[in-house]
Amino acid sequence: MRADMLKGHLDLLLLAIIEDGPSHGYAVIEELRRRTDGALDLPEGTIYPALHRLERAGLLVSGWTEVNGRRRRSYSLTPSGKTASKVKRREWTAFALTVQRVVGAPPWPTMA
Amino acid sequence: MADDGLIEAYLRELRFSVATLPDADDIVAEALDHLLEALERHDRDSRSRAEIEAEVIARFGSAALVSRVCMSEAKRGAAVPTTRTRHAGLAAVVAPVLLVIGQSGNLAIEEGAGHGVAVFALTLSFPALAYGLWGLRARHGGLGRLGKAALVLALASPVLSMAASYAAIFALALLLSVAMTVFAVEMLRASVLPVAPLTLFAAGPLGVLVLGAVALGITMAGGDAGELPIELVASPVAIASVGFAWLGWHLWREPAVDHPTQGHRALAG
Repeated sequence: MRADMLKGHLDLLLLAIIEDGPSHGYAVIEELRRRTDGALDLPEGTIYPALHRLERAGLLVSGWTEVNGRRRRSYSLTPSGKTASKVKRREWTAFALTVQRVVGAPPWPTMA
Repeated sequence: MADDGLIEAYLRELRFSVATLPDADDIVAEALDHLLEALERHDRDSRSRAEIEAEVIARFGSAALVSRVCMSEAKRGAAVPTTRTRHAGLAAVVAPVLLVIGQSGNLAIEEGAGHGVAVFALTLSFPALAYGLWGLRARHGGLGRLGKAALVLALASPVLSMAASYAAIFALALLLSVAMTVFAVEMLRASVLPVAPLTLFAAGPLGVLVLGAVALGITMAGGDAGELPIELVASPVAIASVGFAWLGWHLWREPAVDHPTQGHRALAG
């Protein structure tokens, strides 16, 4: 799946993964890959700026720990993030249903 | 930093690329952790360490790409309803009301305090419009370059239109219509807000542009565009106003994620 097809939906995917518990960037990306059977082919480094943006927006909070002698940043959802995740899920469901109604509908009846 | 090799060279390049960002050190620290974690977890095979490092770096993305995304994401929001987008929604509801009251008073009352109040209301409708547009853009997380350009054009339109002297009001209508059309198209593409008010919001400024072309044609043919019926001239503005107020009402009704009680309402809904 191309990166541009994800436009507008990446936030929901990230929030949904982090909703399950605090995660560092690498774990988030691996989980994204696992849940999509590798269908999402994004340059991994482009996920971090999105995580930073969600933190600036108050939807995520991060903290640093030391692992194997290097600094590691983990992200978790804020109460606002939990609400935003719910809102975005609802928006996605409505959008997906709308598209499905069109592409899944039977063709317009034609005269033989 | 890391061990000698491609990863260290990559991180130096990334550090240089994101140097202007305030969180450059954090970006590089996270990249280092990611690359070393990926390296540690990589299946050992017959390839050299340098080849595996090259693969890990390729999956992470070039320093130029990562820094470009960092720059663009730094300018975006999270596309969620907040207290500020709700207030902007309220401004979007109020803007057309101020416009109608202000313009009606401006035409009906020739002088005195009543005229002053009407002109004040008319003037206030523009900041209300601007705040409403800002809120719509924020609700979409930025609306990309075109959305930003449209907002800037809308904000600058009163100043730019002054260059048209006596035709300033027409220039203002033209500039605002172009800005709002682009804005509406970008919002329709984003599919975040309901289609019906967005369509009205798009149809209004498009109608103004069509009317402008018709008026220009009449004038160039030697006719008087001023004889166009007032109902026809006012209808695109009315349509856009209904669409804008409707969108504003939608923003106002959305529970803000940064508000504790409204957030709970959204979770329960």
